Amino acid sequence: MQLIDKLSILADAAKYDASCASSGAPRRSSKGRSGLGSTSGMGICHSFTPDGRCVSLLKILLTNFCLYDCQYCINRRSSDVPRARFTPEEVVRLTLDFYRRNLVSGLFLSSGIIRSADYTMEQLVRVARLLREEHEFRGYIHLKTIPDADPLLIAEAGRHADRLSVNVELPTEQGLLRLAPEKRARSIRQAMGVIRTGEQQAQQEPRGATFAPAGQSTQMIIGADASDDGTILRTAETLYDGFRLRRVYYSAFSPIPQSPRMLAQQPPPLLREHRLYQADFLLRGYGFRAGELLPDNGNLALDIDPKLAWALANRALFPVDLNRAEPALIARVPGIGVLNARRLAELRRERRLRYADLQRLRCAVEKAAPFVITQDYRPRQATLESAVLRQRLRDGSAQLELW
Amino acid sequence: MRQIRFDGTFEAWRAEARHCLLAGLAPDEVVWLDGPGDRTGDLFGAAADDLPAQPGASFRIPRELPALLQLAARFRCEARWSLLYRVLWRASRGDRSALLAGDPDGSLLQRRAKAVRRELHHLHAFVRFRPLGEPAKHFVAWHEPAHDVLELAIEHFARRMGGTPWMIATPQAAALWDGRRAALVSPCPPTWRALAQTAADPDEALWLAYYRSIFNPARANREALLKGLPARFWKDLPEGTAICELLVGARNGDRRTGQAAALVGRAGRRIGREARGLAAGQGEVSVRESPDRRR
Repeated sequence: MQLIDKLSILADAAKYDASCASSGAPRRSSKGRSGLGSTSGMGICHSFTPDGRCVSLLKILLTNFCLYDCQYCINRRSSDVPRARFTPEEVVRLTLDFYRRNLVSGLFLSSGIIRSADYTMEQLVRVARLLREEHEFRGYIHLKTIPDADPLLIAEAGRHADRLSVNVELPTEQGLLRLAPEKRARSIRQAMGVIRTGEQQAQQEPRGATFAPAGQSTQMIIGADASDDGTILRTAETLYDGFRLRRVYYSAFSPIPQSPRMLAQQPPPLLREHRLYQADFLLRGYGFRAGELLPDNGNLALDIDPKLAWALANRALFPVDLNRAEPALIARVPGIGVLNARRLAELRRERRLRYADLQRLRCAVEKAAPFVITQDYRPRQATLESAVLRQRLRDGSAQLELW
Repeated sequence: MRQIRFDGTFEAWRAEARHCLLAGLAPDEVVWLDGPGDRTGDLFGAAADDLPAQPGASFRIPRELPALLQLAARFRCEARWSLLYRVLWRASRGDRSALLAGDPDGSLLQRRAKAVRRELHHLHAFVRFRPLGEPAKHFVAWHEPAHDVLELAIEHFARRMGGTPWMIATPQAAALWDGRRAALVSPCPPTWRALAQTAADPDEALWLAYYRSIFNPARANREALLKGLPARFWKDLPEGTAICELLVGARNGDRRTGQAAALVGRAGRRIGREARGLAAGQGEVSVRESPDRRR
């Protein structure tokens, strides 16, 4: 099979992994040295596909042959798709060729499970070792970690890779049992634990070898089983707390060719995925807890964003006086982000804040208006009922319309 | 009203602005004329170094201001310099809010600095190097930045490419790296421009195959695409021509599943439970196990 044919098959097989980040790596440079590649900590999106997703890394599978039969996966063994397998040298060649042309910032390599977890992991590590040691490649490498693989192999993966990831796939153990019979929640969490331990050891020895300096991430599939957003966010929160994950990715389940009957057949729930990312951002960057956003399980509202939903449920805290409130509380006002909260705090050291300042900072003024007090402004809507306010502030339903 | 002519570089503006400030010229008393002109005896404008400084004049400005002004000066627009002088004037009189995004001048300044940073990021991301020679020894690219950011990108590509020589040509200037030293040549020589615009890449098909396959038609989203990859860059990207074709395909039914159009209906291969190790070992495994549904 031609290389280009393999690439078509193995990129198609890899696209259901949402992550394509190349951020968080330490500063490396090839200036004045042999070898190729640099990292700066900031990720670069070298292109965008017409689905609006960023292309930052060469994201491919080493092979889409797979012994597992995970129902949601296009590469499951019972799936009737073309199969292919790269040699490690072919992956190295593609990575370096794309990198020199400035098409990508590195490699994200994953694989179907062939022979055994150890064998598969060993193959992935081999590609990373070739790149780093033989070609002195200093670009970004993200390796998928196979649960059940030998901790020694994971340790070697961590020495070469900037980021490691193990996908939890489904938020509950029951879901995993039903849809991914060969996978076990316990071994997935064990692999995350091995990575976490590796990170901690590397942090204790600042001059020793690095271990996955861009940390670990994971992915959950949304809409393949019946889990609600509350369950999903609580699982994410547990993972953030327990393993210090950098990111949890949410991947709306896209129908795959000849989907098994037990799965959803609708187009991917993109708006739901979007709301989950917003809520996830509130967990990571704003100090919210999953229990605050969804006090009694269930799903996030689709018509308003999770921060607005929280504010409408907690009207007693509002309106907030921007000239007096703590910056952390200002960041909880709908329409004002952490960055603008910091800018407002900076500005009010120079003078009193006025309503026009919100406009100049490009806050979402309409959203913020009912919840803030400034020197020259008090909201008339402060006494409006939350239900009425919600009607007024809801996002246009056409926003994420598909057709 | 004083008209001040300088060569259009930030360094020259900075020297002139210093004279003006020491002479106590308010922002509405100065007109900045950049670009070529005869410095001596110019009908329109002269340098500011003959201005008498006010006795005992001195000023202090916030430490971060010069770098911010220098960044904002790279923003291409008609009134590039007058805003900079207005902010400098206000800051030199102790008005720190002139730098802040909440201030009318400050917000304009910050917005220009942000646009410049963003354009630099676009340059880092969307430059496409094409190889010269067989095997490829040099890499050249053609790129059209909206602001004067080429100079800022040299360090990034020197770190990235290591010993590999490269050249980036733009309508204004060209940046060059020979593997050890960098140079910025302005204006860009026409021969370099032609070289960068006509270089062809024999391996471009690989990238296009990747781009087509990594796209998920079930998720097609034109607005998000345009936000990340503004249409003005498409013409110089190898994947630019594929974008419309993929969007149209998605609209015409490809979005039923996420699979790439080239693979839909192609002969596939199920793997038996007993097939342990079947996939291992061989690099080339026939995929013609089931009838090709395309025919």
